[in-house]
Amino acid sequence: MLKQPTVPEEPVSRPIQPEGRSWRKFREWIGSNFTLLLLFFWALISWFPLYWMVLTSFKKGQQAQALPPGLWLKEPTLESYQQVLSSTFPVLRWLANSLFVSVTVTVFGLLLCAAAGYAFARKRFRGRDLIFWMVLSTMMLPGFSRLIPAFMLTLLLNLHDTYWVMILPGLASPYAVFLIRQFMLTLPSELFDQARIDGAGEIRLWWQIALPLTKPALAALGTFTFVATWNDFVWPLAVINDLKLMPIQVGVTLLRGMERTGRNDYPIAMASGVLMAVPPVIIFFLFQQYFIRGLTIGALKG
Amino acid sequence: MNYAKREEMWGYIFVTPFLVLFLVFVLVPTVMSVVMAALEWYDRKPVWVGLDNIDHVLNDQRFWQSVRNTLSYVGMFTFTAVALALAVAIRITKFRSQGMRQGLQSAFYLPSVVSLVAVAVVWRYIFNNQFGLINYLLSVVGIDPVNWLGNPQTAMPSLVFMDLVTGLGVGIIIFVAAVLGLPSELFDAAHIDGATGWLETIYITIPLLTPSILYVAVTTTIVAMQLFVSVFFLTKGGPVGSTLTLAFLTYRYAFVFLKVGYASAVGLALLLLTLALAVVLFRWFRSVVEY
Repeated sequence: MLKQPTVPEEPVSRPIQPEGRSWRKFREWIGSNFTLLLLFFWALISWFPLYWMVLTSFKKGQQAQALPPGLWLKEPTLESYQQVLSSTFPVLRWLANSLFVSVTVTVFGLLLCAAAGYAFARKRFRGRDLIFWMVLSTMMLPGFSRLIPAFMLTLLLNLHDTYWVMILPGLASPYAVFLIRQFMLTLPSELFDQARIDGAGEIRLWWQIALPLTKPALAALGTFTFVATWNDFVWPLAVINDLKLMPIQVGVTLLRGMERTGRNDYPIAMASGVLMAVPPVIIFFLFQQYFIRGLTIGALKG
Repeated sequence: MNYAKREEMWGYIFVTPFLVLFLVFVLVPTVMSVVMAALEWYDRKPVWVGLDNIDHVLNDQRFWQSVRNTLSYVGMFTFTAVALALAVAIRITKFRSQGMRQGLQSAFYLPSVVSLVAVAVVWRYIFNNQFGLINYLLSVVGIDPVNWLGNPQTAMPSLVFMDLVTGLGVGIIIFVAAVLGLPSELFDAAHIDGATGWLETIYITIPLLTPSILYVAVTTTIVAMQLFVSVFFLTKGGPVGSTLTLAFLTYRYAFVFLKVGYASAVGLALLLLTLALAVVLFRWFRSVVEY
């Protein structure tokens, strides 16, 4: 790479100014590092609520309203976690429900969408472009406007208060199909021709050639799907009333301190928050490389 | 069977499982959302009421109030989110080390992974009138406490602030990738012409990023139009309706007041308004881009 030419406006050595020199230097430093400061300031702000949540979850009830609020941990206690887990509500069952639904949606959703994406990218059939266009155009619509129709539909199908109603609607993701199709379009056709000559059947072409090569996109989508399903709130809130079937996001609204908070309830609410934040954070840390790359596949081609 | 026929058959086989679920849970509800605005439900049985629901909605002050609230939220949030994400992303790309850049991307994305339900409850604590952190910090500087969520003037801006703090991750990641993907010759040429720092950012980087900015602006707008969780946990639409949004109004009419027809009409308005905004954004950006 070429060395950048020196810019005339910024001389290397400045004439020495006797007064206000350090102030001027400080101001110059701020001026040239303004965006860097903004960066770290914003990083600090966006992490702070999470820090505050974890910190408060280890406090005792009254400590949460102490003034000045303690910014560090003094005498950490697991009391609020014990209170959450030993409450009369089946909190562990809620966590298990969330895990079951999220894993199922991720695995089967990826399979379905990878099959469809493969067909859109590598097969020729009548109506293909029309169907794909239809799938794409629904990506532009707000999902919330489907809430009531989907609610009535699943009510008429007698699906409310079942695992099915949490799993089935999440399986067909237009975004996932779009992403996988974009990715599979870039695979070289020679690979498929060669395998076909070697006698591979259609299922094997998909399973043993197309899918392994799409791994980065699948890993990104898997992470994305898991996190989105785990964090989904409105849909299960609408369709699940059975205590035993609730996912954690809906269940916690029944716990002390979530919907309305009394003076001593914040540590309990924060402990519930930590419990439901941990799984997506772990998944994100495990797959962050894929995830970051995957998010940009759709955006940069469009 | 000849090759093309077989190819076609396998195409359908691969696409069918997805297509069935897509039809039932995406396409049919989308079409229904239009039809249902003309229905009212009695005992799980629909009755055709024509334009009654829409008439009701258009004459309801609360509807217009939530349109105003939603649009003001979207305006404040989308603009600030895109600008901040862009500023942060451009700064991230100035780091030479790839590890540093990826670490920063992850660090900025992490807060978006945590469930909005958890985040919303933390913020209710931080905004708390008596022992919340913000009012404490203000009292240190000698400013009187503000009832952030209880005052119609400050409630919506508080929600915007809260969502900005957690909602920038996707935008930052996309912008970083977009900047790194720009052809470096353009920057070399600009350096020779003497463009540096701010000039380079304003006259070269940002214009070249217009497609990504449009993408992030549109997706952010679609998400922001559906503001629900923070309203549900922090304000319940109050005080005096100042944080009533279209999504929250839809939810409340359908599941609390059980007026499904009315709620469907509000949901349809949400759909149409979002589409209109997306079209406006596309048009506006097209007039800005000069290729």
